[in-house]
Amino acid sequence: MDDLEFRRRAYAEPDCQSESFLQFKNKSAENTRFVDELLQMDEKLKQAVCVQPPDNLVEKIKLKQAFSDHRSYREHWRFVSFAASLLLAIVVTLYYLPLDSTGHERKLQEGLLQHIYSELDHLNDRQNRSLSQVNRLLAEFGGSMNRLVAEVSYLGSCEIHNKPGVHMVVKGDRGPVTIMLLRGVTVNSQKSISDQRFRGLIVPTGSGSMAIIGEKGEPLQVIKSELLEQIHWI
Amino acid sequence: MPNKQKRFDVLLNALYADVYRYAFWLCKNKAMAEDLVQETYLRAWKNFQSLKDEKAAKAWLFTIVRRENARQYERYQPQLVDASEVSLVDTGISPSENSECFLVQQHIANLEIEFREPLILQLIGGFSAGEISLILGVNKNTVLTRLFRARNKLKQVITGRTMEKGESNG
Repeated sequence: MDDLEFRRRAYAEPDCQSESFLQFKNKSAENTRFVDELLQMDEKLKQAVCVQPPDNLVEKIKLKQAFSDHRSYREHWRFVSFAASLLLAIVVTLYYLPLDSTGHERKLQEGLLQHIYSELDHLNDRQNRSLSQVNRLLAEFGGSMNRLVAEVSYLGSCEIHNKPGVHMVVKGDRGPVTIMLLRGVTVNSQKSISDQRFRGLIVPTGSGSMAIIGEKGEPLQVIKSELLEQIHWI
Repeated sequence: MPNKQKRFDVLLNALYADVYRYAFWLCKNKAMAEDLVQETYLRAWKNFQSLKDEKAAKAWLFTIVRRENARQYERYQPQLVDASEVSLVDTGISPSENSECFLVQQHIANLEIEFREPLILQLIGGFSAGEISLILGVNKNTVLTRLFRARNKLKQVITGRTMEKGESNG
């Protein structure tokens, strides 16, 4: 370290504690005085830079922190609420949509069977209806039949599942078979009906559906095919 | 959480005055310095987990002040004014109260920021030239040169002498 370097270092760091600096400082009284003067000036500088902070600064900082935490907390819960609502909506949609569909079909199945049980007498009717009689009734519902698929022992119109429909009973292999033509009552695909006595099918047709319900063991598929072939809807 | 709050409160009470002083000498405005300190501690609270060594808390807080000041400077873009129109800096001390201290404060405030900032970091923060070089992102020799020039200028205005003119030859 030379004199110039010492003096430059003293200006940059008057309280420098490096060995070479301290050695140079103690080398002469002039060097010591030089550093001491700078240290005295530093005391004035330190006093000058120590400006007084505002009295309530700590409280203001804490208040700001509390507000920030509260906002973060609120935003967090707003997000959680939104996520929970979204999740609930998804669950409800996924759960209730098929349930509603299943519920609708189950109600239809139950309604059809109840209707048969409430009008069991019709299974024993011997009306022997003609094709034209059948067509007159079908015409009211926008349908027509090319030919009878079996002897029609009962023919009537009644309200099924809160919709007017055609109620027919035809003679099947195992006994009477009930046919109900339901306009405005739809199913997405063919459904089965069964209880301890009856077996049946609900088949989608144009703007409605057709139910074919007979005694156990009745070849319903054959009747279904013939009906679908013979009945036409406008 | 309570532990975090406790540690933060310790940091706040121990360092807020120095953080305020550093902020003040950066922007030379009491109201802005107060805002800077509040924003600094808010950021510090939000990122408290990133402070691994609490011995480094002062340098960490000062760095946040520095960044926040740069951010506010960018946001408000203070207009350049003629040097002759620069008013005295309100430091909270009146000339009648302590005229010598008041004058020194005005001299420090009149230093260009590149000389004032390392000097403030050294006087308030007690940082070494090496630590200041890390905070400012310049090399250590640059810091030493700036500190030398800062004191040289101040000595000139305070005592009328400088190393070059008065003492280097004497």
